Amino acid sequence: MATFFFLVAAILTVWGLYIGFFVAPTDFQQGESYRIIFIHVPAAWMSMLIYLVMSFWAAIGLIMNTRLSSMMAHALAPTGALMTFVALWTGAFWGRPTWGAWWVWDARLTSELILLFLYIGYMALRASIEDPRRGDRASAILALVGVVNVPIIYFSVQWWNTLHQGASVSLTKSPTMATSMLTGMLVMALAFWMYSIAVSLMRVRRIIRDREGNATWLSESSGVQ
Amino acid sequence: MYKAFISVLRKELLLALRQKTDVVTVLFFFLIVSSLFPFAVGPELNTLKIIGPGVIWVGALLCSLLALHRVFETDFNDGSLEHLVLSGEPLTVLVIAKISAHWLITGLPVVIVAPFIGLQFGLSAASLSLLLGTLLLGTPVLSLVGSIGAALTLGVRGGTALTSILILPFYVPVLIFGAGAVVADLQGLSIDGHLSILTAMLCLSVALAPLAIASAIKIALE
Amino acid sequence: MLQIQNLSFARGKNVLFENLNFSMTEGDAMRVTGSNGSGKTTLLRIVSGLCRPDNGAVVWHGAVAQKNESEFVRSVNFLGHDDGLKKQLTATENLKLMLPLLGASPTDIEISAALDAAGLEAVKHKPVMNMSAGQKRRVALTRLDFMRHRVLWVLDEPFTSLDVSAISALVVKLRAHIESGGVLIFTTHQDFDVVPEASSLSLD
Repeated sequence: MATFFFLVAAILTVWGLYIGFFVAPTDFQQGESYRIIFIHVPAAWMSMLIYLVMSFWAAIGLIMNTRLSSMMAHALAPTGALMTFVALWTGAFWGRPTWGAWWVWDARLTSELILLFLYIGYMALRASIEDPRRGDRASAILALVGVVNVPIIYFSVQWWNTLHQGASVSLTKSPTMATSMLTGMLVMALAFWMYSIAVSLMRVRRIIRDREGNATWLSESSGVQ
Repeated sequence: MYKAFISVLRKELLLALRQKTDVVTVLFFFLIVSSLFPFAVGPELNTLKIIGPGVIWVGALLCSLLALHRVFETDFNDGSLEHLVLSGEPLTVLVIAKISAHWLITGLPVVIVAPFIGLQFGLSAASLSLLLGTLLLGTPVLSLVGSIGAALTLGVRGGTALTSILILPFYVPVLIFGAGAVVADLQGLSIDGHLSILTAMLCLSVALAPLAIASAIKIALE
Repeated sequence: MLQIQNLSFARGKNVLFENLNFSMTEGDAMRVTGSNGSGKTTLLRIVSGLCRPDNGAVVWHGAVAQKNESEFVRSVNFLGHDDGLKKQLTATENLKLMLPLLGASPTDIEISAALDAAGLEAVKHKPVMNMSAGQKRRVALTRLDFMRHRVLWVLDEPFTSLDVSAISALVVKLRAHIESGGVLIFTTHQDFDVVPEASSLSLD
């Protein structure tokens, strides 16, 4: 099944990048450098979506005591962290020509950085607990505390940013987007989505093999899954 | 429930009284960390005035982090945490008792000393009292949120470093509004918003953190 | 009164016990034996509600214990490997601050008398850190004198570190509890039957 998602992801990526690089018009303010948003924006969307999905599975695992959902949460974390990292990295590449600096304490960038810290914390806690089931449940609590905190962090960072910088440069300020730009971005988002599913499925399979040897219980909990 | 709350609080305070060095160490740490900054940025009073509130807040935050492992660790190791869980009293209430004691022992002294450190940074009397106020509102939030991390890492290798990784992102909002209030006041801006948000964060963490901590403790004991 | 139904627990891939069933009623005592790592402590922690089983249930007075947790644990008196004593506090202070939490509020005189009876008269006002392992254990066991209201006693290795006279004193306490309608589960390394009326469960 993972292979299928990989294939779809590859096709969508090629299509999306084609739209992004050849179909979409040059931006009259930012020139060609804006084209990084075809990777940046989908990565940023995915980084947040994956955190929510991860916390959802973790919560299900905690409440219903189903191991497979906890393993899903476990498998999603590295991909989420990767997406966050890609969003930050491409953001820096976009920021250099646009803002004239690799890093700006922009509210979105800062929140994204903190999101990366949340992922790192989640994975670090998981890695340090030897008993896998205790690891499942402890990291689920951390993920849930994170979900409650993400809006608070985002809001405070925005407040902090406006207090210190006045009107800052913002991504949303760009004039109405050409349809082809939007299409390209949506196709790329879909591609990233498929990639995340494929990679998580592969990872969850490996986790099951590591933890259970043979998965006789899988049939029992698949009802919940 | 009330009796259990009081007996937990009394036990913690009595223990702290028998082991005063712990409190003193945290205070010295606070003093030394914040005294390092003038050496790093130079003795220019105008610069110090600007960074002062931030430095003191970061210092208080580090102190909170440093003291965190003691909230549950010894109880976990000597078996008294099991008594809390098996007492039949609501664990959240007992957790609040423990954290209150912890804040009284390590948080409050820091808050009290902070204005004196503020003097080193040339802060005015008005700024100092505001700093005291924000610390009074903010440090309990640090203790509550930090205790979640402490409970999650019970018996886990990595200790304080791991707790810091887990908890520091959650400290960001408190830091922003705590130190921000003093800075905003220096710039002549209104600070009502800061103070009400700090209060809201305190209420939210009193309501929610004990739930997370209680579940984390139960998980650690399994 | 106490029913253990289809209890299973595995640590990782290591199955400690599977489909364990037994039931106990007023005045019953049970000795759990087994080699190191056989799951004695885990079983006791599950029975006392500290640990969740993978499968199965602990039923107390007809209700599943996990579903009615705070009510259930108020009937449990659990004594683990670690005795929960604070080393900076004296024996008297430890008991005085621990017992109200467990639903007992003895007077100072009662605590003092109980410690005297346990042969701790000379050290009861000294910090626990200056005591020997056996003395500490005796302080921890003094708690049992005030735990009659908790019917289900779950004691993990209660005889460890005790000398012969302390063992027989403990046996007297355990018997008194069973005779007054209590339920007792304990683990022990000792080969001899310290409590002969206890039934035996081997996890090997």
